[in-house]
Amino acid sequence: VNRELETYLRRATRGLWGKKRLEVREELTQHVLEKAHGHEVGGLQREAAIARALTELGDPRAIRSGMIGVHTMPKLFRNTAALGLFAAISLTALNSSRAQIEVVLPNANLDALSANPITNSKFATYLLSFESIKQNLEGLGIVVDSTAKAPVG
Amino acid sequence: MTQPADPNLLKGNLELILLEILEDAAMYGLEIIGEAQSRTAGYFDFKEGSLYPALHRLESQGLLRAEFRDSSTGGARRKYYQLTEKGQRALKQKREAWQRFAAAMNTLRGTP
Repeated sequence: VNRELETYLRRATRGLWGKKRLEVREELTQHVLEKAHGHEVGGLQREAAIARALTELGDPRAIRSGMIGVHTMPKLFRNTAALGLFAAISLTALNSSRAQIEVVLPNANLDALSANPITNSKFATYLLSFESIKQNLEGLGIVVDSTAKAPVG
Repeated sequence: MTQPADPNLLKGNLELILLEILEDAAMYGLEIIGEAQSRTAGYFDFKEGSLYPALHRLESQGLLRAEFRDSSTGGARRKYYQLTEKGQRALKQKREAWQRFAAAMNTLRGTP
């Protein structure tokens, strides 16, 4: 793949994950190559034709911003429980699948975490394993480094 | 060639324009841009980069259905978009809303 095109695609799809990222890459690649082919027929060299097609497609950050608004933000909002968890606790990376973190939150829908509250009044205490937190964060596309480090925050 | 439309007007009505273009046939991105230009004698000149997030938004809302198809010319696969039934209903509603708006504007300036 042309280097300039590859850089553009990386910028335009940053923040997207998995299958969706591949699909957007494929769609944009097809657009640029077909447009560039037209410019080649018009007399431009291959590299120049791709460069012009990319210029016409516009700022990759605008595409990225639009795509994240469609694909990533709604998913994050749907997982408010996991986000609340992320914001509410200072996460100490624990290198043990049996380690548990005690979290006290207002009663909220924590179905996504598959956690059973110990109390069920205004506030509930949840005992969550590091592995369950890690899986949920990774499900949101957040990279979790599980090597032991100094506490965050 | 006609003077291109005000970009803000285009942006504000992009969803209606896309639904209108896709009403009768499935199309892929470049084809949609070309169709918009040819059917309006160049008046609708999209910013190309704004097209794809708008198409994806309509797809995520269930107004469009999309699928990759092999290119007839042997190039990379193209992603084709077409209206769903929900998209047909949305188009009808948006079209009526637009017509009411245009009629009100004409009334405002005294043109029947």
